[in-house]
Amino acid sequence: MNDLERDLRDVLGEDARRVPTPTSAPEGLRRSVRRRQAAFGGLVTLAGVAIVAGVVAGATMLLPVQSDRPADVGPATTNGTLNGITITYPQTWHLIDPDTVGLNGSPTMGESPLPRIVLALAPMEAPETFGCPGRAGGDAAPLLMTVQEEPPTLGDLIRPWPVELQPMSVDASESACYPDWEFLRARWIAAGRAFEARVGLSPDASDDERNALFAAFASMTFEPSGGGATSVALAQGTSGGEDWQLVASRDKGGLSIEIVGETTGTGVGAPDDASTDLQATDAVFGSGSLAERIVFGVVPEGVVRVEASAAAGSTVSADVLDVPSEIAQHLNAFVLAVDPSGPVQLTGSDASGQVVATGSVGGAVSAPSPADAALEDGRHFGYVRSVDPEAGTIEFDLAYFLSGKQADQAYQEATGDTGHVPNDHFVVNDNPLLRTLTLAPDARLRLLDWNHCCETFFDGDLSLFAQAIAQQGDVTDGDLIYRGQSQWWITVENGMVTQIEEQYSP
Amino acid sequence: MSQDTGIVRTVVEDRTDLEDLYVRHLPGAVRVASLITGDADLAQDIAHDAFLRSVGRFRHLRQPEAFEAYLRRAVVNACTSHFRRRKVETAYLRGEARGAAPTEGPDHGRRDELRVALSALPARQRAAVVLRYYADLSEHQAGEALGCSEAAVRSMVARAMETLRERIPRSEDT
Repeated sequence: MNDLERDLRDVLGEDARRVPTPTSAPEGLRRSVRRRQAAFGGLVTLAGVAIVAGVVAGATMLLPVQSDRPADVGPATTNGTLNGITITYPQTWHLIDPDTVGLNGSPTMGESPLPRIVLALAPMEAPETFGCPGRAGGDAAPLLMTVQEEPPTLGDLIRPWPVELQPMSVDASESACYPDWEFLRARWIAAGRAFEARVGLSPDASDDERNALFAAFASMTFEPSGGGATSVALAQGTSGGEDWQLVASRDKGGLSIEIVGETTGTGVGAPDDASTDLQATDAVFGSGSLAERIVFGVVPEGVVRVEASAAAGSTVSADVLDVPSEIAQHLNAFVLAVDPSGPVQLTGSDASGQVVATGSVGGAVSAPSPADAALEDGRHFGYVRSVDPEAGTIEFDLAYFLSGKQADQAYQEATGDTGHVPNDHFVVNDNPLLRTLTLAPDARLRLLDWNHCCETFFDGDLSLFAQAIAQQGDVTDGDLIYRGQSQWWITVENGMVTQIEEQYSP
Repeated sequence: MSQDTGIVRTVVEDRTDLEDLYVRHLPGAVRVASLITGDADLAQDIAHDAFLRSVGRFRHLRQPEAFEAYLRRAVVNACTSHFRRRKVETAYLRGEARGAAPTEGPDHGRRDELRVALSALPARQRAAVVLRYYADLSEHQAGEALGCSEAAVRSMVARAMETLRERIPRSEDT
C-alpha cells in the first residue's frame, strides 16, 4: 500500500468515526415501511425529493419537536441588513448570515457564486435549528425563512417586487427534519437582482408568528449588487410539459450556454470569446407526441437574429438574446423551438439582414421519412417510448450510449466542461424522431433482475412491460420488477426487433 | 449475511426484526453516505430513505441475504443522484457546515488537503474510492454497488487516485 492509499484509508476512517449514526430504530419505522410498500411502483426518487428542499428527504426519524419557546412574538421590531437586503422583523427573532452557519454548503464543494442563500430569519439563532429542526428538540424553530439570490434574469421573466408567498407542494409528512411542515415560496426581481424566498412553517407556529413572518417578508427592501454577474438567466419557458431556463455563465472555460429543465440539462460551450461561428445544440423535453425540441446556442457579435430551417420545411426565427458583457464581451445567445424531427440549418443575420454566420444541429441525422423510421439490422441503444402488444410494435427513440474517451469528448462538447464525464458514460440523444418498429413474433424481452442486482436478466412479459412504459413507473409481478423509466438496447434482425434488453443506469 | 435470511421476508410482520435490521445496517449506510456526500445530515436522510426503499422493495426480491449489498447500492445511487441534481437544485436550508473538521496531528495539513481533493472528485469516483478504501469492498462488490463492471471500478479508482496524486504532494515523512 502506498502513502496515498494509507492516508486515504486513515482520512476516510477518521471521518467515518465522526459521523453520528443511529443507535436505535426510530418510532414509526414499521409504519413508514408499510407506506413505502404501499407506494411501491410509484416511488418518487430521492433526488426528486431532495430538490424540493435539500433536507425534506423523506426520512422518518420522527423525533419529537417539543415546544419550550416563548409563543408571543411581541410587538417590538427591529431592522437589519444583510447582503443588500434590509428587513424589519420581531426584536426577539434573529437575522442570520447564511455563510456563518454553513447554509451555503462547504467551500470545498465548489459552489458557484449564484445561487447563494443571502439571508435567513428565524426565532432561534442556533444553526442546528436550520439544518434540521426536527432533531433540535426543544430548540427547534417553529418557522424559518431563507432568501436565495439567483442568476439575474433579463427582461420581465420574473415578477418585480413586491410579490406574495405561494404554497409549495411538498409532502413533509415523513420528513425527519421538517415533520408536517408547510412550505411557501416566492420569486421576484428587485434592484436588478433575482431572488427566491422559501418559508417553512411548523405545525407549532402560532398565528402571531406566522403573521410576523409574513410581515417581515413584505418589509424587505433591496439594494443593487456590488459584484458583476457570473451567470444570467436569458430566457425561460415550458416545453413538453417541462419548465426550462436558458442560462449563460462565465467560468474558466469561457462562456457556456446551458438549458436546464426539471429532468435534463445540456449546454454548449464557447471557449473562444472571439468565435465567429454559430454554435448550437438542442434539447428535447417531454416524450412521444408531447416531445418538443429547443435549439439554442451562441452567436458572434453582430448577429441580431437567428433563423432555423428544419428539414420538414418549417422555418422559425427569433431575435438574439443579449449576454451581458461581463459574462461574454463578443458573444450572444439564441433559443428557438423547432420541428422535433431531423436536422436544423441555422443562419445568423446582422442588422442589415445579411447572413453573417451559419450553423446546424443534428446534421448527422437525416430528415424523417418512412425509410428513416426503420433501423438497420444490429443492436441499437435508446428509449422505448411506448409498446403496443396487440399490434406487436414499439415506439423507439434512438440514442447513443458513449463511454470512455468518446463519452468524455461528447460531454465536453456538450457542456464546455474540461473534466471527465460523470458516471463514465454519456448519452447523446440529438434526434427526437420516434421510430415505430415491429416486434418479431418471438421477440425476447430481457429485463434487469433486481434480485441479482444487476448483471442478470429475466425474460419479461410484453404486456407488463407495456404497462410499465405507459405508466412511466415500476410494475411488479411477484418478485419481478418492470421499470417504466430506463434505457434499453434493441436488436433488429431482418427489420424486426428480436430482442429488447435493459441497460442499467444508476 | 445469512443472518438476514428471513428477516426481510417477514419484515412488516415482525417489528423487532425490522428494528434489528435497521440498527444493524443503518450506521454503515450513514457512514458511507456521509463519506460520499460530505454531509452528515444529508447522509442520515439518504441512508434512512434508502433503508425504507430497500425494505419496501425487498418484499419483491428473491434473495433476502443480499440486503446489505442492496442497501449499499441504494445508498450509492441516492448519493450520486444527489450530486447529479446539485447544479439545478436549490440549496435550501442546507444545515451545518459540510466540511470535515480539521484533524489533529503533525500530518493534518496533508490530510485536510486530501479531504478537499476528495470532495472535489466527481461523485462516482468518490463513491468508488469510499467503497474500495473505506468499505474495503472488492472490485466486484464495488461494481455491484455502483452498478458497473469491475473494469469500470478500476478505471474510476485509477482516475481518482491520479487526480489525488496531482493535487496532494507526497508525504515527506514516509
